[in-house]
This record gives sequence, structure tokens and C-alpha cells, in this order.
Amino acid sequence: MSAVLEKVICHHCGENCQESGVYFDDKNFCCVGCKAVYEILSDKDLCTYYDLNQHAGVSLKSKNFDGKFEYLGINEIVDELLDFKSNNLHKLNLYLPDVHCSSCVWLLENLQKVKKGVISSKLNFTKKELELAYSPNDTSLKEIVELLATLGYEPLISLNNSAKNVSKKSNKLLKQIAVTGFCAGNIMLLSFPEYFNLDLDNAVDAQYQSFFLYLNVLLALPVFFYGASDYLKGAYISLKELLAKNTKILSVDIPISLGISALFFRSLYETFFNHGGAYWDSLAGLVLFLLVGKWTQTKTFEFLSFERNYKSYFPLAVQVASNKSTDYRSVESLKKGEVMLIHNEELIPADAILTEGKAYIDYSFVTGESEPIRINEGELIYAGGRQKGDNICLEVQKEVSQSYLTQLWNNAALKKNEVKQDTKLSAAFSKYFTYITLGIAISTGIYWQFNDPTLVWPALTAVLMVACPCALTLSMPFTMGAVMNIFGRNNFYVKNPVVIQQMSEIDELIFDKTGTLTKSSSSEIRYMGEPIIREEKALIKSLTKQSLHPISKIIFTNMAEADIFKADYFYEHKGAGIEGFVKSKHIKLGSANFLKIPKSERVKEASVYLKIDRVLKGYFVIKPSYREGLSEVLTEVNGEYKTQLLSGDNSKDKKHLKGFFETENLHFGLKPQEKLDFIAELQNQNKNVMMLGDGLNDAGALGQSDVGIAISENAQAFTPASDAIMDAAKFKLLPKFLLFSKKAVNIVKLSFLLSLVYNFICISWAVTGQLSPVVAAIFMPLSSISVVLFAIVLTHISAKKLKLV
Amino acid sequence: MSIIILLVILALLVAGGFLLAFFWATDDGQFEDTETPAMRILGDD
Repeated sequence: MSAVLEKVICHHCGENCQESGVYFDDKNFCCVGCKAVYEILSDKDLCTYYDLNQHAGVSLKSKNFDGKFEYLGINEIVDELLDFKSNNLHKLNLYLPDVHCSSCVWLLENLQKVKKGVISSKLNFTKKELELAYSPNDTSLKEIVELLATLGYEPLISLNNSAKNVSKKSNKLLKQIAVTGFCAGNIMLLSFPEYFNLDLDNAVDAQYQSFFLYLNVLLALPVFFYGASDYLKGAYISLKELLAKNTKILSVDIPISLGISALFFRSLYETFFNHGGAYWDSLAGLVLFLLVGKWTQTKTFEFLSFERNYKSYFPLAVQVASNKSTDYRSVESLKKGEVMLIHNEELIPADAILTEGKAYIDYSFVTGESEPIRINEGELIYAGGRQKGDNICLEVQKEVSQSYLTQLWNNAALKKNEVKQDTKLSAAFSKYFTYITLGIAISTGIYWQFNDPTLVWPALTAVLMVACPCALTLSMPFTMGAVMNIFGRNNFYVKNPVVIQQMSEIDELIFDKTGTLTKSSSSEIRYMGEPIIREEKALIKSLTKQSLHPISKIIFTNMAEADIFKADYFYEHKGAGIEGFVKSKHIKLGSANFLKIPKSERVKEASVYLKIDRVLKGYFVIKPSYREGLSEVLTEVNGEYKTQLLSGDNSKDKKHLKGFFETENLHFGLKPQEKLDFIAELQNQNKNVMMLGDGLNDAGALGQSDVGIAISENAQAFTPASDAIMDAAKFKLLPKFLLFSKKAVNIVKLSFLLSLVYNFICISWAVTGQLSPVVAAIFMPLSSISVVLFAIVLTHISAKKLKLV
Repeated sequence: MSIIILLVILALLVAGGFLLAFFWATDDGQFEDTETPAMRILGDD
């Protein structure tokens, strides 16, 4: 019998257990952390967790929270986070990015069994938010957060949490639809007898007729005053602006309100003066359709956030040193001259001068430049940099809100985001539509004035009633909603339907380099030369571990299977390479000049040469790995759009990118503000610009551009404020997305055409003054529904053709 | 025959009751999170 060697898998998180694995309670664990979680759960009898999903846990390797949540012990900071506070009850919401399965829901909602003092915990899975209530007498926020972190759900607490946004989603629209739907259904039912020609000389019939009619009036009141209130208000405001000459744009609310009001007042007149022939059912049906159309427009991808600014990235608190003691302080209360203590991997929240320690600042967050920069004492460090290495002391120069990075958000471009709602298409349509309808209505009135004055008002109101801009208000939201869904299925998430229209109007594409055209994580690496044996790999790995340079890191991760020894000596020559002694062997890695390689032995493609004990072994070739399908995407879009590259990085990849961009369109070494200005300049030349970027360094440019798309390897992860979020794996679909948005707009235009045909038929009926309530009740919903169906079917057909569904 | 009038009013009242129930449910937040309850049910003892 031979034992089958099986992979040992951690009972908690499902990762492979290596030598460091722990054996406990007949189960294997990959690390002490996972075992600890298992212990907590089994201790409280919560092992159902593992029954719901095998290996449901989050890996706890290399997690260490020593002092990380110390700041949650400070009352002022906790107060900022709390939504509700009383002596024995605290309530707050925590964002837990690691929530991923149904077991998480179960465990987190059983938190009160694990921790005394937790009163209730309720998880919103889509938003990954935990609603927590606890008693401050029995526990503290710090203890709870540490427990959550131990369980593998480390909450993300950033400056953004403190700006409490209690803007609870308003349910007004949903209620309006409910009321209107209720009334519309009943009105239609009660209108039926009328259409079957009641005999008004018969006393019973006459009694019913007037009962149904007046009941309809009652039911129509909430439709007009509640259901349609937003349209009427919108029209009133737009009209006021127009008369005050503040704007020239006619909002689409005006033609809608005209139609609704015409229906309402004409029906009132018919009911009370003619005792019959009212259009109540048409009115209710129309308002219901309009509201449903509006509702499809408000649907968004709830689990994504399109509004992140620097506050979501910045820490809430920082350690401040004063008079030999250190304590945590809220970042926003930092004042000039104070000394803060920054640990490894911490973000620097304010512009500051280095006073003590060795600073290696990674500015990739701010500039896109991937190499950490060595800063000497006395030099200025900008906010947004991340310290790599030892602890450092910094003297604050500017308050958080005044620092270089945050200034970007005070730029007007990032505030006007809300205003760009009306697009050229809808604005133009609503303008012509309103004027033409009014023109026809008035000329009809004038015509009948001279021919048959009794028909003036019936004909005039009938024109206004049937000429409803249903194409604009229904086919547009339904088409755009369908497009949004299809995009969503392809992991391209659009903030709202307006973005799709703006996408179709784009004429320049701007790309960021790092993280957008290149993958943010891996690079291609090849070794050429004398083969290196396992022992030598260990030496190289041990040495590169000491360095923070990105190339060292790439080599380090590629020497995966080797052991690590302590380096006896290590020195990093800035901009040249590294050298050191490991196990008394001398190792030198770096550029050709640094290693003094003779010209004859130099290779063009080499990035880093390797010498062991002063003997040249070989060289590494490292290429940034570009996104899949990059060349296809760029060749495809180059035909139709002007493409440019804006990079914060240096121009080392210029050679490679020349093939895809015109040389004069490659721009390197740009600061975030310069990127923003670049785009603003293009817009001044009346260009519609789309920007694709990733990091916070692109946030300004993304906000300024007409359409800003954030590219992310994981859409659930952090992305800066943008109009759309694209999954990096779907980058190759970009040309299709652009094409589809154009097609969608064409479909909307086609349905405009269709509804114009309907309007033509209806209006030619209406101008004769012969529009009966029955005809209106049948024809109006029919035209609306057919236009909507037409648009949706066409959208799906063209999506199929593009292979997006 | 006037029973129809009574019945129509009654029917409207009943339907109105459901409308109120819907209002109550929206205000109570029933439609705010439609995903988690489906998972919650798995863990109930």
C-alpha cells in the first residue's frame, strides 16, 4: 500500500498548507490566524459556518494589526464614525470589503454570540456594509473592529466614513408608481361601461354612468397632483428660467406637462359640463408609462461606487507626537507644525517635511510613477505618498484640505459633474418638439376659429393631448436601460444612461499608461545566459528582498521556490543597481554601466545584468506586460478616434508605444493637475473627450473628461470617481462598447422617427376635432408600448450581432 | 342593482389597503436590500 500524497488544504480558508501549517482538532490550518478563527468559532459553537460553504474563510496570512486600530480608542474619532450615540447604545455602519459568500452573512450576523456587548449586526451583502449596534459599557469599537479583523473581515475605515452621508434612498418614485398604477388600473376598469354605449335614458344606466365618471375624477386627482407632480414642477421651473432668460434650453418636462395638463383640464370640462366622454384613462395610463420609464432610468449598479474622492483613500487618524508622548488624532484636525509618525505602508495624509528616518516614498498613487523615491531629511513629501520601510517622523506643512493632492478636488471640474445631464440629442429634440406641437395646436385653433368656432377648443386640446413626446421619454430610458444591462453583463458598469449617450459623441480617446494599458501587477520576465541553480536563486532572492525598486520586486517574486537567507551586506546604488553579500557570496544586479559590462557583451533587450562573485552570469529581460488585445484595440480605435497617451511615468516605454500612437500624442511625466488641464484644453477646442485611467492620479482627468472610465482589475475594489467602471479583463471589448453606444443612440433616433409617424396620424385625427375618448384610450398606450418594444428588440438584436450577449 | 356601487367602493377600499401595505413596506426598507435575505435563510437554524 502506498500512501497517496494529497495536497493539505486549510480547513478555514482553503489555501495550501505549507511547512508553516498548524494541526489542531484533527484539522489542518495554513497559519495561526486561521486556527485562531476556527477556535473562536468552535468555542462559540458556530461551526455551521463551515457547513454553509467549504473553506469559506478569508486567508489570514501575513495579517498583523499591532496597534493598527489604536486610534479607535480615541473618543472623538469614534464619535465621528457613529451614526447614533446614547449612553448605552452605539450604532454605525462599517464597510467590509472581504465579504464574499453566504457564510460571511451568517457569521457576521451572529457576531453577538462571539462578542459580548454586540447588540445586533445586520449585513447588506451587495453593499458589503455591516450595520452594527453595540453597548459601549460592555465593549468598544476598537475591540469589535479587532475581532472583525481577526475573523478576516477587516473594515475599511477612511476619512470618508466620518463625512456621514445619511442620504437615505428616497422611495418617492416607487410610491408614485404604486399610487398611479393603482389609480390607472381602477380608472381603466371603471371606464369600460362608457365605451359600450350606456343608454342614458335608462335611469339605472344613467346612475351608473355618473357614478363611474365621478369616481374616475376622484381617482385621477392623485394621478395628476401626486404622480405627475415632478413633471409639473420641472416644467414650472424650466419655464421660469426661460422667461428670466437664464437659459435657452426647453426641458422635456414642458411638452410632457402640456400634454398632461391638456388631458386633465379637458377631462374636467367634459365631466362637469358634458357629463361624459372624459379622457381619464388616457391620462392615468400616460402618467404610469412615464413614471415606469423614469424608474428604469434610475436603476444603477448599487454595489459600485462612482463617487470616490481622496477621502475614501485617506486614513481617518494618524499618530501625532507631542512632548514625548504620542497619540492618535483625526487627520482633519492636523495643524501646521505638528509632527506625525508614519509607519511602513501608511499613507501620508498631508504635505509635510521629513524630520527623522529613512523615507522611501511610493507616489504611484498620486503620479502613476512606479518607482519609490528616496527622500532626505528636510525635504518635502506630498500627501498621497506611501512610506515603504521604517517609521518616519514628518512635520506637517499644510492642512489636509489644503495639500497638493486634495487641491485637485477643489477644482471646479470635479464639482460640476451633476450638471452635465442634458445631452445634445434630448435637448434638441425637446426644443423642436415643443415648438412644432405648439405651432400645430395654435394654427388648428385659428383655422377652426374661422370655420367652426365650436371646434376651437376640442381640436386645440386634442392636438396637445396626443402629441406626447413618448419617444423621448420612453424609448430613450428603455433603450439606455437595456444597453446598461448588456454592458453590465460584460463587466462594464456605467454610472447612468446619460453616459451612454455621451460615449456615442466622443471624438478623442485618452489613455493612461500604468495600470490602464499595462497590467498593474505582473510583468513579463525572462532570464538569459548561464543557467542559475537553485542555490544561486536563493542568493538572488535574498538580496532583492532588501530592495524596494520595482525591478527588484519583480525578480524577487519570480524566484518563487527559493529559500531566503539574511543578507550580510546590502547597498542600493540609486538609478544603477544593487549589490550585497549573501552567504559570503558577492552578488551584483544592475545596469550594464553599473556592472561595467564591455560593449561587446552588451545585449540590447537586457534590463538587468547579474554578476555572482564578479563573474557575469546572464541578464534578465523585463517587459511591462500590456493588456490582452491591446494592439487590436488600439488599431481598431485609431481609425475612428484620435488617441493620445497621458502618463505620469517616465518615457521608458516610449519605444514600445510608438507603434500604437503618433509620436506627438505621447505625453510623459505629467502631474495629475497637468492631465486635467490637458483635457480641459481639448474641450476648449470643442472636442468630446473620453479618458481611461485607473489610479487616484487620474481622478482629476477622469472627472474633467466628458466620459471618464476607471479600469480596474477587480470592479469591487477601489476605483476613483468616474462615469463608468470597466473590468480590466474586458479591455479588448472597448471598441465594441463604443460601437454599441453609437448604435443605441441610432436606435433611439429610429424610435423618434416611429413615434413621429404615430404623432402624424394622431394629430391629423386631432386637428379635425373628432378624437373620441375611446380612440385616445386605445391609441395612446398602443403607440407608447410599440415604440418601447421596437427600441428594446432592436437593442437586443444589435447586441447579439456584436456578440455582447 | 345598486349593490354594484357598494361592491365597487368595497373593492377600492380593499385595494387601497394593499396600497397602504406597500407604502409601509417601502418605508420599512423592504426593497432596499433584496439580496442578503436570500442568503440569510441558509443559516437559520
